[in-house]
Amino acid sequence: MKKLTILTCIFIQIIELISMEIINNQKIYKLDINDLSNLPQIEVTTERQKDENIREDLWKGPALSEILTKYNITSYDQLKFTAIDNYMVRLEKQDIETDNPIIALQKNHRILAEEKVRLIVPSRRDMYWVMNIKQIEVLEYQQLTLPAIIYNGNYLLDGEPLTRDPEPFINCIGYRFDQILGDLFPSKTGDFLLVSYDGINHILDYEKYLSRAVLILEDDQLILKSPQMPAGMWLKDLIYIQNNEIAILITKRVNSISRVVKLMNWIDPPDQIKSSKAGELITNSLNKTFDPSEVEKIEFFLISP
Amino acid sequence: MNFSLSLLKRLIISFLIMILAACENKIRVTGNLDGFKDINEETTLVKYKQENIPDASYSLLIGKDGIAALIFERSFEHVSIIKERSKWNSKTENLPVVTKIKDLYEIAFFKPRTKYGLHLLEKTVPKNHITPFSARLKEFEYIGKSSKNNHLARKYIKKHKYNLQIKTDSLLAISSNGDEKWVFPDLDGKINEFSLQDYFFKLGSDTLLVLWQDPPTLTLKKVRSKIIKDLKDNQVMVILIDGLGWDFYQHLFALDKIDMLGTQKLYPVRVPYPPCTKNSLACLITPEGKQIDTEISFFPDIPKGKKLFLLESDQSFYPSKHELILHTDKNFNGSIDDEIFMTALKKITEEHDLIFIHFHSLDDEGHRSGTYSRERIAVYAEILEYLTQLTDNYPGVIHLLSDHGMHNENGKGIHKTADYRDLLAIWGRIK
Repeated sequence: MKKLTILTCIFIQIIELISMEIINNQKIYKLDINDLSNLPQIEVTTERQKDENIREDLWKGPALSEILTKYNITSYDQLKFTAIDNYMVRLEKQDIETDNPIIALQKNHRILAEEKVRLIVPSRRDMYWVMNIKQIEVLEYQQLTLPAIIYNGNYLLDGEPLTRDPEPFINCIGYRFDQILGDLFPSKTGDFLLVSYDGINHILDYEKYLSRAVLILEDDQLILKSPQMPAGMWLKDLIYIQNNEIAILITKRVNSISRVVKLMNWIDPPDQIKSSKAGELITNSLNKTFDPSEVEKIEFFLISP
Repeated sequence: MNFSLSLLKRLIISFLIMILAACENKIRVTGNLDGFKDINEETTLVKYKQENIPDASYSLLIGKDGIAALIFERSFEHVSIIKERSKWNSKTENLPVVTKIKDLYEIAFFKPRTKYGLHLLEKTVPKNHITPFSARLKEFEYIGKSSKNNHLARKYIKKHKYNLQIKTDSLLAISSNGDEKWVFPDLDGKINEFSLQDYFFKLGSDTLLVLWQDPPTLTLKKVRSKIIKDLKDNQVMVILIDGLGWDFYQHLFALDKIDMLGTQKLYPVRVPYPPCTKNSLACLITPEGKQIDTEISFFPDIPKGKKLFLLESDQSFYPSKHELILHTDKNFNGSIDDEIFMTALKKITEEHDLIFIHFHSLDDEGHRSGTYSRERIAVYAEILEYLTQLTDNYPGVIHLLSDHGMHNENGKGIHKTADYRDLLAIWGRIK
């Protein structure tokens, strides 16, 4: 009986490894290696820096666009790829159309093991190349737009206690992620946009990825880690968080709202913003760079369209 | 004939009741409020917000049919609340059409801080803080969003009644009147007699503020027992550091600023609600525990034959039959703790059984510059110097404790709330 249970578990795991699903609205399409092999195959070459060497690889597999065509998926804004271990990346429609990503079945003329079958986006860093994909979700999702209010994350954290070894991480100090959110958001549910200093961003579901996350403090930078996500998704030097109209900015790292505007590609930002200090609202130019001593006392910035 | 008349009367009364029921006189206002504020006359959403809930940043307009629209504060000025044919409606031209709610029944407001949130705690850490607004929103399912003229509205539909789902056997429930009782969730995780009200959570007839899984077992009453026990055979010094919360102690530990207290075994202590000095002192100095409404005094149960020195600031919360020594800021340095410390150094050389020292500056500085401010950490370092000298010179047993913690709001330290940081103090027998 015990053997049968173990075998069943292994079988379920194998099934999980070799099949992926595409979710488009209410429809779910299952596809496996055979389905992918039967589509027209193309080759792409990538270059990656590994240990100070440039590594060149030749990948072969069906173009993502072919897969989308097969399932008649034309109207969408983003695709969300989730791996078995919950690793997740999103690609915008524009990226898919210009970069021509593939689902690689071969690498350098060798057939990849089924669990190594991988999304390859030639123009993106390999952190975007999801392996062992379990789900591709089709989203008609608009990127979060201009927030109405941006809270000063450092002002918020100055009022929060630091913890040594915040669970489950050790040999570090930091905060629980929910400490920075406080009670600012009407509900801690749904998607949160998280952006790092070097522009890497994730849109993550709070319950699934962030409810147990922590912010590790290192050299005045915040590193977002969560036991709910694979280490490859952890964000170094987190500077920005947004959920709907409310955002939080780490002003010790970015002390000008115009920098955020550029980073986020916001369209039609206002020329002026208001900053709130000790209950008083002061009008500033969007381009103003705040002195560190000045910005640490600002509670929030109001952004009006 | 009589029977027909009676029937007619009943029909007329029923008809009138139906008409009255159809004419709603008011719209329920719910969510993160500090009190009861129904709408009973036509208004605009922005006017209502300005007059009643200036901090409100979202509102959820809810129709009787369960359709609701969530809008942000900058859209409030475009929404009128009007009464048409005895029914309330929300009217707008500039916002997405989903904002037009017919037969408007309730408006829930969100503001970032609320007095009546429910704190879910486990041991010494918070697990969740549920606000009445977030609980109300959980009753709805998100349908989608639409925008018009740069304004966004999110559409929801009501699905079910809010209820907690707690996966534990037992929890300590703390109510706004300070009462504590154990509750036992059923197999579905539901708590009997728990409900979401307009702007608070209710347990039985009380306003529920805290549900605490595995709360620290140490209370001020138990600390008191330890002091009284030690007093039987020892000289005892009690050092009360006002406002030294368990989490501030952990914060100092994380910053490597804990210094001499890092070598001591200190424990979290659960203090009574509302967490304030008067309330906590009452637990500590009387055998009955929390008795702030009655006349109490310092250690009334310790016989007069015992010699007690009570070192307080310029006033004492309670009188005492024992020697109560008050202090003023003689050197005008903004703190009375240095004067108290000097008296303590003198008094420990005199014959006594118990010396009770109450340092205030950590609490005062927290209220002034914030719970975790640099200034407050500097005050902590000063108090540590007093502690070092007192422990070096005292021959008896020393209990170090605090009366409550503190947390930040608007950059200043406050307590007296159900926040876990306020409710957890510290205790340790440091010598």
